[in-house]
Amino acid sequence: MFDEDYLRRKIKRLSETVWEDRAVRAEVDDWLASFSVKNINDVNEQVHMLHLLSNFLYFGIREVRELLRALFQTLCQRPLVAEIRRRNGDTIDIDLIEQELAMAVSRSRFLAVGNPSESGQHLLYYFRQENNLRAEYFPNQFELPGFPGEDPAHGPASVDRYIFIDDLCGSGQQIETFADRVIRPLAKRHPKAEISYFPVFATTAGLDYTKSNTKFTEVKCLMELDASFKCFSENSRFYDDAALKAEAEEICRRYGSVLYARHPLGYRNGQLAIGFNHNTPDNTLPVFWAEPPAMPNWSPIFRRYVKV
Amino acid sequence: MTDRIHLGKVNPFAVTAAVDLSDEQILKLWVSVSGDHGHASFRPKSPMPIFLLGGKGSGKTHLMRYHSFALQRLRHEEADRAGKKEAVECLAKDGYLGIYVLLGNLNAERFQDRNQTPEVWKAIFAYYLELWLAQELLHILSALCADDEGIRKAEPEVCSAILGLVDAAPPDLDSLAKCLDWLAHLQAQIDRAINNVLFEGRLDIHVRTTPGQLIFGIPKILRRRIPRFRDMMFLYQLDEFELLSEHQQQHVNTLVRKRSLPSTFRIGGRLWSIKTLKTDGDGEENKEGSEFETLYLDRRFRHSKVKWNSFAYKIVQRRMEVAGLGKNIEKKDIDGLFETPLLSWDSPFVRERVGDRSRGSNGHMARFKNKLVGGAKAGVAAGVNSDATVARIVSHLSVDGYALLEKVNILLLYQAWYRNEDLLKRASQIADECRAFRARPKKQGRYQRAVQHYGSDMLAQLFREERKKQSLHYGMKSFIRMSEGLPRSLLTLIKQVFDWAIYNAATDRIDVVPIRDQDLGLLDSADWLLTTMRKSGEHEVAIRTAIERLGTMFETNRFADKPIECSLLGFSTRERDLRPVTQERLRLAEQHSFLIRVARGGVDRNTRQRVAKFQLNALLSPKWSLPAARRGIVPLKPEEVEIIFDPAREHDFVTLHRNWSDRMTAPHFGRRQSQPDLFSSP
Amino acid sequence: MKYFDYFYRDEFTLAVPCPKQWDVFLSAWDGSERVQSVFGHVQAGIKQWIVHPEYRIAADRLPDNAPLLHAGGGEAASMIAVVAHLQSLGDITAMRLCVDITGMLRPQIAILTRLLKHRGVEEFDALYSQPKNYTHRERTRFSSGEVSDVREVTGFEGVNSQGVEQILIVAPGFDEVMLREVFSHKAAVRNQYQLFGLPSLQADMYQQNILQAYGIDTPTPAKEAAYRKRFASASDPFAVANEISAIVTEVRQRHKRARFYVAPLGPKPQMLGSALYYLTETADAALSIIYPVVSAHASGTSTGTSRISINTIDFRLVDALSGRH
Repeated sequence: MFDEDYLRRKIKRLSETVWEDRAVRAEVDDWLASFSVKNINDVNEQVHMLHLLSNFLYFGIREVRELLRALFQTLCQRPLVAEIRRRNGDTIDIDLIEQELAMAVSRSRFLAVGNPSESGQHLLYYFRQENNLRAEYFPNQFELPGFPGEDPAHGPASVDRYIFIDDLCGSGQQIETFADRVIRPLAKRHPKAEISYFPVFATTAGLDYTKSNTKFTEVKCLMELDASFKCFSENSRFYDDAALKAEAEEICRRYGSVLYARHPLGYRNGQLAIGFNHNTPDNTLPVFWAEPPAMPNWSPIFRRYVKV
Repeated sequence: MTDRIHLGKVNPFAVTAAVDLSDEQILKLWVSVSGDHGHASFRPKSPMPIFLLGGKGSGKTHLMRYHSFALQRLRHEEADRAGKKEAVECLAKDGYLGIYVLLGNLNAERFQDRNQTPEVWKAIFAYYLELWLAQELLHILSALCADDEGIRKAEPEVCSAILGLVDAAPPDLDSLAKCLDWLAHLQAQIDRAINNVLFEGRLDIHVRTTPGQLIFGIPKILRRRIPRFRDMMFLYQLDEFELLSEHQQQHVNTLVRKRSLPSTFRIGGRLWSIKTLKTDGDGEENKEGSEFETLYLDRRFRHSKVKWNSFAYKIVQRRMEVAGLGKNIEKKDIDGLFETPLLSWDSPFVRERVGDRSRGSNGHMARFKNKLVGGAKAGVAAGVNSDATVARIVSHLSVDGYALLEKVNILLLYQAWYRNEDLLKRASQIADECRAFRARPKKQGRYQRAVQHYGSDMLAQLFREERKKQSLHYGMKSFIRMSEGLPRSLLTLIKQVFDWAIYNAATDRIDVVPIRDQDLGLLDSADWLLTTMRKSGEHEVAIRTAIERLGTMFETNRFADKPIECSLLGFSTRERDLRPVTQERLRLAEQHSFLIRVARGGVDRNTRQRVAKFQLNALLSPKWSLPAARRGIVPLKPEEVEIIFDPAREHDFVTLHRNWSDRMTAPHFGRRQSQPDLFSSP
Repeated sequence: MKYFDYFYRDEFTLAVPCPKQWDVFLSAWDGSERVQSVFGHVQAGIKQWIVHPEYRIAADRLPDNAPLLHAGGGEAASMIAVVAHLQSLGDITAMRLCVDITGMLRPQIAILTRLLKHRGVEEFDALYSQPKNYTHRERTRFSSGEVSDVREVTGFEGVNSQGVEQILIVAPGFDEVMLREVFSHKAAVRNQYQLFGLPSLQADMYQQNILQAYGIDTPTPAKEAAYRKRFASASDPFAVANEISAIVTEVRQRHKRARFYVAPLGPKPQMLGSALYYLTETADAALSIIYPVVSAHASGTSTGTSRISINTIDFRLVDALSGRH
């Protein structure tokens, strides 16, 4: 069984070191108050929730900024540099490389996935800041080739690659919809362009789905979440004991069916325990983030800001 | 009426180590040990070299840095805001110049191997040390030069004289800045040469001065050429002595031995720092009392509770003031920050906490009754021959509303039981004694003493029955006691407590830290202490295991029917009879402050031999719900200590522990024949 | 500057053929699954095992599918011997050389790199494979033997000065004891930076790394200023070199003459990156790499093989970058 003292101390330590002081005692207790200490199956729901909480992966603002920096460096810049060097006989002429790199970057455009009001714009802003990129490289969606406000500055004459960034690719279904709406016309108008999708995090399933069902030239993530990151999967990394895992799943499903009826264990059965400073994705278990208006006493521990 | 101090969201004790503080902060936080501005122990004007040894957080670095030039200067500036006096004048008034050096910055571990002989490394280290200390001194001189006309005038001749001490010095270095540059250049050359020796193949270092030539020579020059330096002591303060190898320490020992006025040394290090007392040349050892003296900083306060108490409040007060919690914070303000429930036999807190729960079938009275019944059945309960007797005994010992007294009564009865007395008779006596006590609780007497001595243990038992991990040590008084005279322990403890208070707080303002947070902070501090073990190698596991075992044994005692000793926190043993490896482990445990050696050992009653007494560091008590203050010490046979300190002998320890536990458990108190005693003859 | 991004770096998995081939492939044996798998998977004219006596692996547990090079005599001497051995195999300045550093002891990684440069090698590939998982997560204990000392790595020492600001850059790994010894050894250095592995191999490793560094059972250090927590992908030596470079540059803006100590206690590429940084920007200057001296080394408790990287250490590029510095 779980050692509640240990879990409380772990959560405190996480709160102090990486969770930006979130999940202080009062918040944890408020959240736990909605769970039973001894339910009809004689199970202590609260200690189960503490265990889940202690395994939550939260990425604060510094971490998110870092990841966006690493995203650009690893997935955008490095390949460009490698290509430049190889094209020039493995050159080590730093000036030449810098020059060509600057040129290549200037012929790249960066966009977020989703609507302007969504968290993607947040990310884009940090991404730009962290990597010292010029505002000109961040067009609005409607300025892209194939769109009503098409601007030649962002068209085939000036751009070789379009890079779409995202925080998390869960099931891949939302990006599929987006790709249909945005990438299709873009690719049609500018068939030579490289169109990449770089989510910071992606589930293995989501990556595969996206690769098979969209027209992106390249789909890569920085940190992959394999099936073991699904809380109740067969090889879940959060449970050694199958019985405990089953108990936990039952609890989450039961509450989830009230909190987020269509997807009680997260969007498309995501079953994730992950969140960011800017928001908690809906692929994460609703017990963590849901704030149903009909249940005013429910106090989420990592609240989610709903897209309007 | 001062406004009550309170905590906000920021922990005022977030910085706990002296090195974390800037010079200004040290000055602000410096608290002179009451009655002694550090001078009486440090004696900066004395030519006698002193070793300052202390564990982490003993105040050693604080003490040294306080006497270093940087802080002398700050003090002078503070005292003389108008800037009327010259720096050197102030120094002259101090009578000493502190040259503080962190030996870690020399990175002396490099000086070995690389296909060079130990002799070569010895010579290089000696030369490097000369260059290093010379530079440190000259930097100070440079700083003084800027402000002082007298020194500026003397600069060229001083430089010339100094260069005269170094082989083949260039002729045109007529300023301190140029000298420093050149010395730095020589030293950097050594650094580079060592770094590249494996690639260049050779180590080409031209040693340009002999040991002591610069270290002792420069102060002499200064004294001769600059009038204000005439009566000044030059104090080389070498900190982190443990970072030097044995050979390197031997060299420093030689400098200590051959020291020459006006220079002397203050050498700081951890308790285990001294690897050798030998010196070069004739291999003679430096002797305590003649070549040097030692100041054990950890013990400073252990000998004087009053001083420690006063000092403790002062450092806490200063920290709080510096962190902005208030001005002129008083002792009672600090005390008031911590919930400190009264834990006496008649306190409302106790009565409320335990109250009726003790009545249940799991309560202490019920369990006692079961033991009586069981004992009677086994025929080992004198005077108990019927259910009626049992009921009467229980009735005698019961005290409505005063669970603690009931526990004391039960304990007294167990003691009688152990002595095979008639239990009904004794129970009746106890009832009388108890009644008399309640009528006049302040009157001295046997019962009253029992309440005093066993109160803490009995309370612990009562609360454990509540099934909560509760340490029972709350408030400043307890914290001060548990820190065992180590400032860093106290500061860490309070920091941990505040961390929990802030984390657990329902609001942004904390007026009183609840006992729950104090419990959690104490547990964290206990764990912290255990992580401070350093460089103990293979002994680390043995020592940790031994501490765990001792903790467990003391815990068993505290929660037993008939504890062997009240408030047991220590043991005694014939140290000399232990194997060398066990003695070594004891010594290491002591150096890391897990065990505290009790000052006055004593003599073993049976063998008339000297015994050594040790107490577990009270900061560790919360791990095993032990008392914070030691009353009892249990004698352990050397064989028993061997088992405890040998991690491989787990099986033997289990037996030892079981026998230990049995001795204290009714109804048999370990006297059942089937139990094999580890040490009885076959 | 982010110039360390200019080095070539390739990644692959065991599911595909290795993208490069070499004349000589050396790998240090540590008994782990991934080291063995990779050894079998790569293509090279000559393949040999380096055996570190410090691992104290029993003779019957050593591999028998290739010649063994016993790297004894201490960290420096052993690498001198390895390089001498390479020289006996051919012209090292012309050979296509790959060294799998996954199982190598950290100080040796740095020393070997410097030696190769010194002996005229123009470039070599350093290969590193990541595991699928570490068992026990944040409670993993990589306990090595006793730490007897903390020392500068031979050939990666610096120049010391009095009165200059001292900076300690520690990359905490999963060995708590080593971390404490390093902090204790440099306890007097108040200006500290901690370099954490982010992006991490697995998404939860970063958080675990933090818990390990601060411990659930040990107190957190003072709430640090935000800038002291730094990040670089722990399995990418170039990212590590970049980050160290960034820290040094920043610090030098405030303290022109600062003295740095770098302790890379995490995955092996951190040591490689630190060494690379040293050779590029601060050889013989005020930065040194420090590392604990341990009596014995436990090989990691990991399973499986995930991503494998080939990091091309190009000494010509190093020199070109040095020149600009």
